[in-house]
Amino acid sequence: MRASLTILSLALGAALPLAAQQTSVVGVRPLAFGGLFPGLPRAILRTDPANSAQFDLKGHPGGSASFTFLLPAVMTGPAGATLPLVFGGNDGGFSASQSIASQVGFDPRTPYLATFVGNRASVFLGGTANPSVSQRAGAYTGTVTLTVVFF
Amino acid sequence: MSRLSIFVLALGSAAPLAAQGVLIAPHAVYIDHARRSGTVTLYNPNPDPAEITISTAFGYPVTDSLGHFALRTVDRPDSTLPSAAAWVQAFPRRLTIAPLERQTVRLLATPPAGLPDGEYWARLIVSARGGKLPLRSVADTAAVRVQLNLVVNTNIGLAYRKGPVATGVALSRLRARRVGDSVEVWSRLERRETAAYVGTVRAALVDSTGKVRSTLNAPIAVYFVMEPRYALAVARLAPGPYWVRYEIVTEREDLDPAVVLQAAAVRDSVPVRLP
Amino acid sequence: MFTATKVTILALALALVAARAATAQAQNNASINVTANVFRPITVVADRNLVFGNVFPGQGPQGMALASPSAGHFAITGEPSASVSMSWVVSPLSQGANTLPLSLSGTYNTVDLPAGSNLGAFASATAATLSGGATGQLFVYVVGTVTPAANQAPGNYTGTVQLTVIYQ
Repeated sequence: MRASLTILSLALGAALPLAAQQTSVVGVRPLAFGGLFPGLPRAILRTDPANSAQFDLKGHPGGSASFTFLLPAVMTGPAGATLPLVFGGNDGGFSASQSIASQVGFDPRTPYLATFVGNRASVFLGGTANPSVSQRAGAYTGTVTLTVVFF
Repeated sequence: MSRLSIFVLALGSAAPLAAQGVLIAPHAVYIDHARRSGTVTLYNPNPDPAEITISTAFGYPVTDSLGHFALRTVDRPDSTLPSAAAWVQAFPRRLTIAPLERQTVRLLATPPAGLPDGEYWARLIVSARGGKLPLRSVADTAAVRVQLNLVVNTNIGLAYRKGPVATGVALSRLRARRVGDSVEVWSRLERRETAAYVGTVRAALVDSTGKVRSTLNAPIAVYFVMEPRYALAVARLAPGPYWVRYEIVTEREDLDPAVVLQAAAVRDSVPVRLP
Repeated sequence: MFTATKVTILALALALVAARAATAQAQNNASINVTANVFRPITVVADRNLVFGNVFPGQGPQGMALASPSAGHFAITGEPSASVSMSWVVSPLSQGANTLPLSLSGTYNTVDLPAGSNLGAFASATAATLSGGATGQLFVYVVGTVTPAANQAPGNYTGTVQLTVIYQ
C-alpha cells in the first residue's frame, strides 16, 4: 500500500508542471507603424494583417483567460526622443479561431476576460502613433507586454 | 477693329486650385552596397490625385560667389566623378497617388562590376503634376482661351555607399562683418575622406561678457568645397566688440542617425565689431 | 502505520490542491516590440494658380498684382534654416503656330506674404533659406503678364510653368 501511495504521489507531482505547459502566450508579430511623417498621426488597426501586433495563446477548451496589457505611452528614439502612442477602446481584439478577420474588439487599457473555444486563440493589438511636427528623424521602439491568466 | 475678348484662363477662374505637390521623405536617400536598394515615401496631401514621375541625374551642392547654395549638375559625368545616376532606378517610375494617400517608391541600384569602395552620388527628381481644372466655357467663339499647367519638381540627394566610408571637413577662412542688421559669416569648407560631409553649422554671436546674443543652426552638406554665407541677426545689439563662434558637427535631427557618418566637430571663432 | 497513512493522505491532498490551483491559475506573459521610423520630409506645393481673367488685344501688358488672389502661390516646407535653390522653366503660351507672350515675376519670403525678395530673372536659379523655428518654410508668389497682339489669333493657348526646388 505504501508503494502504491508513493507512486500516486510521484505521478501527481509530475502532473503539476504538465498542467502549466498546457497554457502559453507567445508574441508573434510586432506592432509596426512603419514610416511616419512629423505632424501626421498614423493609426494601425487591429485588423491590419501586416502591421498589427499578434499574440498566440494556448489554453483549455472552454476555459477562461484574463488579458492585461502593459502599454507604453511613448516609443523611444534617437537621443532619447519620444514619440507618443495612443491606444483606444477598440484597439484590442480576441479571436477564438486565431483569425484576424474574426475577432471581438476590446479595450486593451483594461483587463479583458475571454473564453476559449478550442485550445488555441489569438490576441491582436492596434494603436495610433502621434509624431510631433518637430519629431526627430530615426528609428523608434517600445514594448508591449500581454499578461494572460488562465482559469 | 472688332474687339476681341481674350480670356486667358489658367486652370479655370479664381476658384480654389487643386493644389499640386507631394510630401517626400526622407529628403536624402542613402543606399548601402549590401542591400542595393532604398525607398522614398511620397504622400499626397491634396484633395486631387497627383501624377508623379521620378528620374535621376548627377549633381552636387556648391556655393556661388554670393555664398548661396546652388547645384552643379553634370549631364555626362566622367569616371572622375562619383556618379550613381546611371545605375540607380526608381520603381515605379511613374505613378498616380490618390488624395491623402502615400506610396512607397523603391530605388534599386545595379552598380557596375568592380566598383571601387566609396560613396557615389545622384540626384532624385520627383516631378508632380496635379489634375487640370476644366476651362471655363466661353460663349464668344472668337475668344482666346489659355491653360497654364503647373509642374512642381523636387530635387533631393542620393548617396550609394560601398565598403567602408568616412567623412570629415576642414574649416578655414572664417570671417565676419556687419552688413545692415546682420553679421555675415563666411567660411571655406573642404571635404575630407571619401564621403560627403553631412552635418549642421552652428554659429553664435557672443558679446564681451560671454553672453550669447544671436544663434544660427543650419543643415549643410559638403561634397567638395563650399564657401557658404550665413547671417546672424544683430538688429538691436549694442555697438562694441563681439565674437562669432562657429562649429560644424555631424548631428542632424532630420536624418536617421544610422545614415549620418560621424566625424570630429570642427570649430573656430573670429572677432567682429558692431559699429 | 496509522500515522504514516495519515501523512501520506495529507500529502496527496495537498498535491491535489496544488495541482488544481496550478491548473486554475496559470499565468503567462509575452512581449512584442512597437516600431516606427520617422522621416523628415520636404514638401513643395503649388496651391494657387495664376488666373488672368479677361485681357484684350493691343492693350499692352496685362496681368495681376502680387497681392491679388489671382497670383500664383507656392509653399515649400522642409528643415529649419535649410538652403534651397529654385529654378523655373516657363514655356511660351502657344496654340499651334500662334504664341502669346508671357512674362513672370515674383517674390519669396519666409512668411506667407506677397512681399519679400524678388525672384529676379526666371532664367536663372534663386537661392533661398527656409525659415527657422520648428518647421522651415518658404512662400513664393508669382504673377504673370501677357501681351496679346492687336491681331492675336483666337483659340486655346497652353503653356507650362515648372518650378524645381533643389534641396541640399
